[in-house]
Amino acid sequence: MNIDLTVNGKPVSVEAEPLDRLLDILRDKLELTGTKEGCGEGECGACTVFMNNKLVNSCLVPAMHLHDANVVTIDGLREFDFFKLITKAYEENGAVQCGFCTPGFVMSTIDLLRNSSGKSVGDEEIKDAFAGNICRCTGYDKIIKAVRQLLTMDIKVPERFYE
Amino acid sequence: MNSMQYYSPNTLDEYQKIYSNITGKNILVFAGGTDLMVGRHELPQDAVIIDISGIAELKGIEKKEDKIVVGSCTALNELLYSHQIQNNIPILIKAIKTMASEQIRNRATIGGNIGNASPAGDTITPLVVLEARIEIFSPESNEIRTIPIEALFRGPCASTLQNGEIITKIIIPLRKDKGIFCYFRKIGQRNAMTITKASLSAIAKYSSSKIEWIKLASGSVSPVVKRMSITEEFLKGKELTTAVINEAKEIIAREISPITDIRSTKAFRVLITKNLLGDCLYYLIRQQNI
Ligand SMILES: Cc1cc2nc3c(=O)[nH]c(=O)nc-3n(C[C@H](O)[C@H](O)[C@H](O)COP(=O)(O)OP(=O)(O)OC[C@H]3O[C@@H](n4cnc5c(N)ncnc54)[C@H](O)[C@@H]3O)c2cc1C
Ligand code: FES
Ligand code: FES
Repeated sequence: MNIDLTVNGKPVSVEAEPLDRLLDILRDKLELTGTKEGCGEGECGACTVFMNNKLVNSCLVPAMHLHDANVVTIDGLREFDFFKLITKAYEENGAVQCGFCTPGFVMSTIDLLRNSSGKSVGDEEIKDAFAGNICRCTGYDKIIKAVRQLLTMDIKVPERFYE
Repeated sequence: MNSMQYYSPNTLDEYQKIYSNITGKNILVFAGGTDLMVGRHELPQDAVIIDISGIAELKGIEKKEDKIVVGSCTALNELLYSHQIQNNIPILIKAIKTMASEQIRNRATIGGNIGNASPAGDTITPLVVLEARIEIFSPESNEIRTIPIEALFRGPCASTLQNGEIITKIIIPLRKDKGIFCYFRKIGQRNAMTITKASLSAIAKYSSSKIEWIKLASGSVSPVVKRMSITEEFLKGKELTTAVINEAKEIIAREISPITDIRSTKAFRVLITKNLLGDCLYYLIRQQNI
């Protein structure tokens, strides 16, 4: 089947089987390799992207759900100011070791920053926001530290990207 | 991946028409896909996929006089963020909060959680104690019927739905009595993102130091989720003394029929279920004393 969708603001058209994964379409067909595959089962979050402005695991989204969808991946967010602040905080806090989980954590960080603008966010809420992301290297503390720092910075994340 | 036949109706009417044109085929109903995509390589290759996630009639949360009606294709996060659910059905919020992750809850539907018929499905025990009813559409007879949720389950991951039948709505009655206590807790390998080894849902009315009524359902400890009616009956009208709580724990241990599987052992499941009931009842007492 042929699917027309928008990825990182650009209209694209791809050929895919109904149950092909969004993850493979992004990586193999569109060469957007910032999005990673860890488990392929919805557990690790390395494949996290925004679809219609909601955080999803691209390994669980079938091609047949992508008609007219608006997908935003980590590769489409690098030029935003908030992205640079996130990169800096992750670096300063040693939150990146092997880096495989990082694209997914960054996507969840963006979602958390966006949803919590103007609200105070406790450690429980931070942990909940990352329930779907696994990191085997950092022990999480450094990531949480980076996120806590970002939450104090009053960072503006747009309500929607590329819409 | 091979080429599977697939349809995506926009209305129940279209769904029915598609069904009539493919009679005799093995139909695979597809909603959010969070269960189905994980096992996509094991799906029967001759199955015809019908993606119901685009059917508008199956979406949304509506409050009617004495009930809340939830469309089967409503995502778990829509329920979690719904003021109607937050204000009227707190036990469902407690349960959904423990489920999976933000990413999964944005895609997973309540109908899929029920339709999967897993004894570990975390929306099921709350819906059982709430005495929810399930509306089912049969494309064969083109009719809609409503059954109590408990009648939907036949065995672990097996429902009583016939080929092509879909859950359309979940109907949750609202209780008139005020100050209802509610409890949901699940135990898994870890706190976040975990499959239930054992869980307990309860709603109860407690007044003048006595249990007026209590409804209990245990998850993952029987082939199908069902009410713990012997334990409920025992607790009814009782004052919650330590002796009563201890006896109730023994009764619930006899009422469940857990198995040993890859996630846990039978003995451990019995132990957690007893402890969950104890936790629930002591929590109830503490709540009343605030
Ligand atoms: C990483 C991960 C974590 C998870 N964590 C939890 C958890 O904590 N608790 C929990 O309970 N579950 C959990 N799940 C399981 C899953 O997310 C839920 O069961 C979800 O609600 C399924 O909904 P869906 O729309 O994605 O279902 P789908 O995958 O689309 O379908 C699931 C099954 O239900 C059937 N079905 C779907 N909709 C209907 C309908 N309307 N009528 C009849 N049959 C239907 C399908 O045919 C299929 O058999 C998890 C899954 C993953 C991958
Ligand atoms: S690859 Fe998708 S969640 Fe792990
Ligand atoms: S940095 Fe290696 S998995 Fe997180």
